[in-house]
Amino acid sequence: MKFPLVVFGCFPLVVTADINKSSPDLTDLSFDELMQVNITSVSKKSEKLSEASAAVYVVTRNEIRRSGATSIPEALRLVPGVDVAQIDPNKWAIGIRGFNGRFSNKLLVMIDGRSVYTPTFSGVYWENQDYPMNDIERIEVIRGPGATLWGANAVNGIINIITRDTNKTQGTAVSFASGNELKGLAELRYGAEISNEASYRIYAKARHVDNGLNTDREQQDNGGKYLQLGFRADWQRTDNQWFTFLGDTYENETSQVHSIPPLPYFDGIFGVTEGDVKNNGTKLGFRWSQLTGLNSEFNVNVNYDYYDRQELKFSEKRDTFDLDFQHKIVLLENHELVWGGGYRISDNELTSGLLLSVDEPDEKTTIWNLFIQDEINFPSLDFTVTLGTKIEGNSYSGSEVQPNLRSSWVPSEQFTWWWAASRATRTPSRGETSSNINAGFIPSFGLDPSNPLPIILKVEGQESFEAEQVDAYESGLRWIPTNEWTFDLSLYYNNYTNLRSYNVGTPTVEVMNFQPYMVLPLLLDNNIKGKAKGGELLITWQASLNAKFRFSYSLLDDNFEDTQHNPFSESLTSLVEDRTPRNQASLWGSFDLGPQVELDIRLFYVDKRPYEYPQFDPVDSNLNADFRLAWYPNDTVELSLVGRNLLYSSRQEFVIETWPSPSQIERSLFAKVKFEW
Amino acid sequence: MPKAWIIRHILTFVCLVACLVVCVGSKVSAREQTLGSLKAAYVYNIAKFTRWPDSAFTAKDNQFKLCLYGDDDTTSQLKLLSNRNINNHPILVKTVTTESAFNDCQLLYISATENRRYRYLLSLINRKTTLTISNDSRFLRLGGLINLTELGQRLQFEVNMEQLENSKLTLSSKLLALGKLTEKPR
Repeated sequence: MKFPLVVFGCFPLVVTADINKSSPDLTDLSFDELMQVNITSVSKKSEKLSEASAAVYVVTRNEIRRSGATSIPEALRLVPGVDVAQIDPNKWAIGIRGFNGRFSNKLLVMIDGRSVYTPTFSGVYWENQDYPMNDIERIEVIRGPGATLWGANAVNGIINIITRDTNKTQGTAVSFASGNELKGLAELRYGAEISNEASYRIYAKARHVDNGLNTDREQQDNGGKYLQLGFRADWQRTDNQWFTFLGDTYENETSQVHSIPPLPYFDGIFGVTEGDVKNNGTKLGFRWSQLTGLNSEFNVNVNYDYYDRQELKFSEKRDTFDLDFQHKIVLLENHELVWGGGYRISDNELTSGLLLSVDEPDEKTTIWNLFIQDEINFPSLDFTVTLGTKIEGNSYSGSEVQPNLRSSWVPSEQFTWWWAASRATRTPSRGETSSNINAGFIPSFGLDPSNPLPIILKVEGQESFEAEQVDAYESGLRWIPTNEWTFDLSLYYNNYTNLRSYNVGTPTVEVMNFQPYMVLPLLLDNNIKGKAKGGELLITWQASLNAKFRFSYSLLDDNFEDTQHNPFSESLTSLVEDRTPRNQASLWGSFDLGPQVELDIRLFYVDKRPYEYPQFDPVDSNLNADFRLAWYPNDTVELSLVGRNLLYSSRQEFVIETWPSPSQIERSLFAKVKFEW
Repeated sequence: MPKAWIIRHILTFVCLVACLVVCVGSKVSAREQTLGSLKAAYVYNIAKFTRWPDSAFTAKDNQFKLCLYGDDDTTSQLKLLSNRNINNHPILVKTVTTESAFNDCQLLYISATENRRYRYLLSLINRKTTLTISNDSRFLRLGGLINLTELGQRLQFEVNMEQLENSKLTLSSKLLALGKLTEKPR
């Protein structure tokens, strides 16, 4: 069912009000007059642009609230250049500049400076990264490599989630929400001061999401229940010394459906189609900041992370310990030097399952890095050059050097032009080095008309698997021509080498359940190379004092080839190229209907994902809409109504990479009430 | 599909309301300004109604040094104040980046983005002769003198009286009448 395009039609109807007619100089007013100026009549928009020489977007608290997000992936939807697709009610695929998937491995995700990737597949278990949305200060999204300062896997982008300082979360906040898909959400936070120097907060968050539909719109068992508790404490011990302690513990139970070809002879071995996933984990962090001068700041960050994941595909427990330090210092005038390093040790106990098996259950891996970066300012030329490099070593592929050169020209506060050249690498994962994966099945005569045996495709990780690499060339400009308009454009050209490929090994015949099979090993190698070019455009328009529009568009054109061509090459390169949309666009209108009412309408378009899975159709393009209407009757209460994916009763957004059983994401509505005092 | 029908119409309605409100409600205020320039005007006016001891100015250049630390909408507006006068002292706007540069500031505005550094910055200056202003609820408690604060629809300022009594600065009675006086910041 298509929604009438009245929503589109509405946007251009809005009459622009000239919000900045010759404004009088406020400093000419007397103090009494000044004190009568209404804050609501002044524009709260920032007049300053980011001067960063990278494609940066900051999701503010205000935007998180107005998006109605109840989890971190939802808050990332509509961020320019970020491809967010909901795989099923409890799984998300989030990527930047291509390579999107449940197991996106070219993206670095950090929460409060701690990398949350798992070395099992170099990606992120999003279901284990939750937080009360109200207590997130901002989410910084950097598109493109950020290799010099940031940790492993910052190949195509970085998502950095920053929680609020506890001195800003004093008091009690309680919210509840319920609807058709979000069955229930409860958040409770209490924050207090211990003294002028120290404060803390504790929180609890529980969430329950409903089951989804399969592509035939029949019920599918894939809901989820989540519970998380946590705390944070900040303490300024002396004028120049701060400590932060934080911790979270969580438990979640999600259901999933796998689709394995229903061949009768797989019964007993591969016949499982449903299965629950049980996750629990704990994170603890300690941060020490020390000023040793106005222009010398030292930071030490110690973290521990434990998770336990139980499911039929495979189960694992992982303990990770991290130590990072960073020193920022101005040694010479106009030189800002940052240097530091990190060490991560991760201990994994993996139990083989139906999808993935290992010979040796226990594995201990280490990653270390050292970095240095110098930002040189030429104030008379309005010019900044940043030079940096990082050396990163890991137990899988040795050490990699990742250099980075950036510069920017900022002739005024309204204009920035930046460009960058950088190299970044993606650390191999356990899955790629020492695991065997039952990736696929081909029925009798399927691959070769003379072969009567059904074929099992087995991907075998190789010790020799190397880090994937990108050389990226970027440029961008930001411009505020008037008070009403801002433009932010970035363009990139990425040259990838050493990407993951398969070599076909020697087949063997094995008998299982009295049926002979041909087992065809696919040996992992690094033979795929390719290029990606594209750009992102963001335009904001403050149409009037109470209406703001944000338009974003991103284009991606990528092309990969396997230098060691084999019958599976096309399928693999297509899996990378065609799972990411070529075009994406969104339009977000924010309206203040009076001082107490907020309305947000968001339209987003995602191009088709043309990759063809053996049993499924590719994912169609999707035009959809969200809205949020909120009313603040007083300072304590917020009442809101949020609608998601409104244009269709249900719609498919993605197909997971392994053993897919595609889902449709349903239209959803929920009501939320929040009290804060 | 009655459910879909209802949702479609609710959305249509909401959208039309939004259009209406935007068209009708966008009256332009004669005093349309950004919050940064409003805060900068407050800082300027507060300085005009403050008296420094003569010892605070060097006889040589007689300049009023308006020092800025950090970078936000207010600091960029304050930079536009150079060449104006405060009590016959021409204003020199200085963005401070080194410890020694704090010495001769008459006024120090610290951007709220640097709130973690309040205590450290205040430990660097002569608090008896420097008017310190920022925009964060904890500023006064950590030893700041004046804090700009949004209360409802108005911008206001709070004065740390304990700190003021320890200083050699004098705020005019007019200023004290307009501000919110805090004896013991908590």
